[in-house]
Amino acid sequence: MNETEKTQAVDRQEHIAFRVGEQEFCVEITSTREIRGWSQATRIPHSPDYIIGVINLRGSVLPIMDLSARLSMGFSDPSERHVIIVVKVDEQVMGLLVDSVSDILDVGPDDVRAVPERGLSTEKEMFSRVIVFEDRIISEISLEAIMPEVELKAA
Amino acid sequence: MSLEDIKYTFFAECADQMSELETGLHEIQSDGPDMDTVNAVFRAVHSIKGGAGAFGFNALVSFAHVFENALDVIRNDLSQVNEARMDLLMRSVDVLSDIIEAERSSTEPGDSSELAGELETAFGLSAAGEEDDGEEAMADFAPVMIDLGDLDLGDAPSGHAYRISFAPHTSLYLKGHDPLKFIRELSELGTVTTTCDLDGLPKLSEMSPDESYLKWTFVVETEKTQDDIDAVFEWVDGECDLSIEKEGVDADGEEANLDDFLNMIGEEPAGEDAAPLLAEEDDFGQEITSAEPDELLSDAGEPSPVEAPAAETPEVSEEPSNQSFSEAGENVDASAGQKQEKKEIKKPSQTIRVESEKVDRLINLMGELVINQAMLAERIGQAGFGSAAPTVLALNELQNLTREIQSGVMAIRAQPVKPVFLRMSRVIREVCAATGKKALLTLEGENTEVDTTVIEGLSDPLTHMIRNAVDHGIEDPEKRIAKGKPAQGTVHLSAYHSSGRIVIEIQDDGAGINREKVLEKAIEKGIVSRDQKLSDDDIDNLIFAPGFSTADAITDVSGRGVGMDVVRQSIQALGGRVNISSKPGEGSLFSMTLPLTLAVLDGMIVKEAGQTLVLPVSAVLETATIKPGDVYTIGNSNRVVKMRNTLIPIIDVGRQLGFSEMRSDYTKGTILVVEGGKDGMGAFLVDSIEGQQQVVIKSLETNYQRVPSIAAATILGNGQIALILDVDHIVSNLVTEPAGNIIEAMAG
Repeated sequence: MNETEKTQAVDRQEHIAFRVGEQEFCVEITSTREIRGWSQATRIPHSPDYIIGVINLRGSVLPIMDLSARLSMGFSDPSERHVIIVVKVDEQVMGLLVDSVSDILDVGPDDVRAVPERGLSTEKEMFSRVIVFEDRIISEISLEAIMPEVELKAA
Repeated sequence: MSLEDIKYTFFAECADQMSELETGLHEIQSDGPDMDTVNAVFRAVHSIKGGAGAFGFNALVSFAHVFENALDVIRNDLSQVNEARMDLLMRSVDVLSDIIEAERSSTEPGDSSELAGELETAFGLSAAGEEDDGEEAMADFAPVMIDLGDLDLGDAPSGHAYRISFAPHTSLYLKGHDPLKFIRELSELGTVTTTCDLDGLPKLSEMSPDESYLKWTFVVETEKTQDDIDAVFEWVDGECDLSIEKEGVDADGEEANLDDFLNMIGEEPAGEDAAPLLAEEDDFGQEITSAEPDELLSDAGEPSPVEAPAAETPEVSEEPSNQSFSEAGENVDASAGQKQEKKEIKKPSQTIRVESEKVDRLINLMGELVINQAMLAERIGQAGFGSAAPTVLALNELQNLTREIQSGVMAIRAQPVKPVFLRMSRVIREVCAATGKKALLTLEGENTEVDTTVIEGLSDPLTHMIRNAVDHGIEDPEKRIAKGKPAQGTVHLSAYHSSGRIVIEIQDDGAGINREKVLEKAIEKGIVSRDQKLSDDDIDNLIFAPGFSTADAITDVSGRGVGMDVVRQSIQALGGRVNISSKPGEGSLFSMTLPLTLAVLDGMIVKEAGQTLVLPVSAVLETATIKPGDVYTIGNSNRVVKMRNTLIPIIDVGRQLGFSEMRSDYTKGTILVVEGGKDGMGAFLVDSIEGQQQVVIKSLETNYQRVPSIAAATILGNGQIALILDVDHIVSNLVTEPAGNIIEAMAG
């Protein structure tokens, strides 16, 4: 492998793309642990509304976040057709409920755009960047930003 | 093994020795000096010194040396113990532990020369005598095997001949030992006659150059004791078959054959029979310790022997005496003989050192097993077998086994609270030094065992409470004398088991809680309002309220910005509760109850608002269905149930957790009367009770965060997660609603 190829390999990142409602989003494949089907969750009291509950992931307690609700796009009605993407953020593991997984993207530096400054509300901070891939617009979710707020921990 | 590994072992040993040391000094302080204890203490310091020398921890060596010499004074004459000296020794323990900590973290140890000087003065040690002795200390590094040569009590017979059979294993050579070295060392002790046994030598054609074939018999005539001979072979313990017999001593008092012998060491009482045999010869090897048969891992014995060939015989680790053994030894075989020289120091049973991760892994797996078993039980239940069907009976059998395995596994991780308790005596000394008060810590039930995870969480709240007890509880010496109390206050720390939980109590004989002051402060801080009527108990418990501190001035000791509310929180985080009761002028009693483990609990499974929830069985006092006439409404929406003339507030669990609206009909559900810590009882109203089951505690915080009203989660037989309710929190939060006070007032 020569130098140029090496650099390219480093710069290119694989992303998992998925649909929530009409839109496409993605997360870096390195943060994903697994993808699994929906199973009935146990509700947690005194939780933000976008936390559906917890499920049993091979003996550990996995919280499930309704990504649609988190991005203020309305509540999902979880069903067999939904998919849970298990992601790891720092030391926490969280399941993201999405409509479907669409693709695995190999994203190079040329495909990436900054998140537009205007026209987006407070949800802007939940995206780290926008990927323009062929003719699709895919927003990359900032996993750190969507994690439940710290202030809730004090409650 | 790298040097770091060896150091790690050394510091682990140090921790053990320090605990031995503290325990011993504590015993001396409370029960007066006795030779065994003094020797144990001496040995601990000596071992630390020896190990430290090997690593070149000079500060540690020199201080331990002075310490050791001071203890030697007591060892030589028990009447040398007095209060001032004990105090000095206790402080030396603190300093020693600081130096060890500094060496461990590779920081510069603090200056210990001042205390060393005090020790020398107080015990009349001459600085001159130390130097040469110090050299020796560098040489006899013995962190694991303790040099018992120094511990000889002086009444061993002199001028004996010892017959030593020595058959090295191959491993001895592999480790770079040389039999010639032992012969040389033995000849320093006295006259040695050496015979080499060539019988094991095969034909040249069959000989392997890597094998060990030769055996030796040494007859040593010496003035020295057997301990000195033992010391020669100390390093090759387990690497050779070794037996040391005193010549000309007949052992005909006992006809020990193998069976008797094994019985003897297998049973506690039999040990007593054997004890007198060796008392005449060796005061230290005599502690006959036998592995408790029910202790799971104790059979594995000492971890040290590298090539223990005793696999087919039960591991025989302790010998009642050398004499009886040499008789039995003919029957047993050489494999047991090799361990004959193992010295067992005053310890209750054999122990092994296991990394805690391994135990944690085992406990996690055990948790999975419990869950899987619950799943199996559920499937079998669904299949509709009768209760006497073989499948069901087999399942019951399995459940019993699981329970036993579980308690066995938990017992591995259970530890006595002693180390934490002993640490508290240091806390007391420090607080006393800072405040000029006088207080003594007395301990009770320090061998009570509890899961290590609980012990870890215990240290901080306990430290804080002990500090508080001395700082706020115990009065100044003058005040105490004026009140007719002894100038020295007492803080009594005790632990015991009670209905599946551990209870820890801190009792001081100080002034008790100044209720007027507490109330005044609480009103001032807006914690309670002036017109609230509070019982004495309520006032006492105000000290746990957030942001409460009564000290007039923030003291160095307990006014660190955290109050008793932090103590309460950390105990609640462990699933425990804390209570206080106080008598003015006589002192206060803090009592906390904690679960024995943070891994499993007996749960009451209930259904409420479509959710399955778990309550700890230990919190449930009784269950009942409500009859229409028993429910009373107080004010707008507070309902109480009358049970045996007590009014208990009804807690609508579904509503409390935000799962459902408040019920309109209270008579449809079932109530569980629960004990909710200091806030008294609550009647939890749920749809139905599903049953009782052991559940594995899973943290919600690992992947999520702490949820109010929820203690933890668990996984049920159907694979679903159920939440375990934090009963105390739910009860407390209900009562702190303003209207709740009315109920309480009425119930009271």
